[in-house]
Amino acid sequence: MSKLNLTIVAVLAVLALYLIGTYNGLVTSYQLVDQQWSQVETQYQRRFDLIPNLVNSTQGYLKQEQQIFKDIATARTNYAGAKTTDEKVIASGQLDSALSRLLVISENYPQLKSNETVARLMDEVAGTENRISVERSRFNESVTSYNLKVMRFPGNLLANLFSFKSRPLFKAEEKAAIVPKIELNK
Amino acid sequence: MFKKVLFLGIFLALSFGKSVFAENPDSLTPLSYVNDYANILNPETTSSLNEKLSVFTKSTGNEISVVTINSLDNYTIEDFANKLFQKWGIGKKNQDNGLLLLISKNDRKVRIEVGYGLEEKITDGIAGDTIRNYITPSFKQNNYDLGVESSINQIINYLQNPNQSVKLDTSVAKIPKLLLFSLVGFVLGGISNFLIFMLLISYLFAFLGRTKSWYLGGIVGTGLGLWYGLTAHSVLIFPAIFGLISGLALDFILSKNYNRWQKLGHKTGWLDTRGGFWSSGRVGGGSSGFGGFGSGRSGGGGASGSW
Repeated sequence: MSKLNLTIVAVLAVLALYLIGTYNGLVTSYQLVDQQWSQVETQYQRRFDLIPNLVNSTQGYLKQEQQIFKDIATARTNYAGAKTTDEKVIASGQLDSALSRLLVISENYPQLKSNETVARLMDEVAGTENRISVERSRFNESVTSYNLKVMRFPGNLLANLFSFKSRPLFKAEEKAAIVPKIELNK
Repeated sequence: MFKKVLFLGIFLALSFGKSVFAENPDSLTPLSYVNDYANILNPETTSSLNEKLSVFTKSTGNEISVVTINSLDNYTIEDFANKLFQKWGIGKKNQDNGLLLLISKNDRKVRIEVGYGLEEKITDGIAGDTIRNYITPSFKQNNYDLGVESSINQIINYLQNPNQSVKLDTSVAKIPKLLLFSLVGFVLGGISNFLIFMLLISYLFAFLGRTKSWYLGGIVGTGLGLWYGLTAHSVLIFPAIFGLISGLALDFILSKNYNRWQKLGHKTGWLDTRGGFWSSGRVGGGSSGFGGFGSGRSGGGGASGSW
């Protein structure tokens, strides 16, 4: 082979390697986003499972506050019935809001707060909310990382070629955005 | 002119002063297990706690860190704790067995952040209980030393109980593996009888190690001694006695080490130890020292509180 041919082959080989690497990078990033989303859903499920216990132990103390328990029951049913990711996100936002309201209401009932079992359950709920928040922010990080690969040059040319599109970040529901600070140890 | 300089100086000091006092998760580096940036603990408390945590880490692998800061600034304590935990990587990699006790003095807030691997032993409820029962009462009386010491003792307690029962490896299960190795040796060819013999001897040692008792070694030793005596000399007694004593001693050492290895969580499979428990399994020296954390992760588990 002549030197020119050799050079051309070498350049093509390098280009091919680069293209393969970039494509695989896009695929990996895309999958990581899905993987991180399933982490978020795992925490949603964890919270969902905690609720019956929480309701049982607080309902006795909060006889006058029936509305909040109705809201929780509705939100929980909606979540159970949600099929698509979007539906799940909306239902989860309703649960967020209902549960935080319950935690705030409990502040007004010192007997409730001093019950050790209830206190531990509140810890579990607060802990789960925190886990959801951690997984959500990691989800957004993975989406951003993927989006940068899709949008930056020259990777974006390849992305367009294979129809890799930007993915939406997770945005909290406006209602659920304000989470009251719960202080159990005042 | 002087007034202007003075004014500028005060202005600069005030604008940078806030960031001097407030810490953020990216700017802090771990100096040891206990990092009292807010200076609320006595030096004796800090050093004795460091010693205790160092020993605890070396013996169980779990990593516990205590951090005190002056102010959270704009972070929530949950966010600060999680980011700090991630940045320092508290806990061993892939085991994620780390725990962070974060105290913010000016905000009067505290959080116990638990790594993935410890969430079952230190649930959110247990973390909350620890804060309510051991930290808040003492901190309300400004007794930070007692609060930190008692809560850490409690956490160490929770981590060590329930004890895992020491499971005994059934040596019988290892025999097929040994046969396989022997077969492979024959198939590959070129392996001398000596190697097979060595395999058998190391398997014997493995077997001896796994039995909790140590009389088996004595029996085997006596047997070997007798066999040696029979084949090599006409006198049986001395080789038999020698075999008995050395067999007993060997088995005793091997069994003792096996138990210690099990307690330390070292792998005791045949492949990992290749038949012998010759070292006592102690990692590193007895002196306390801080070598950094092991890249553990946390998912946001734990509990927060205030005083």
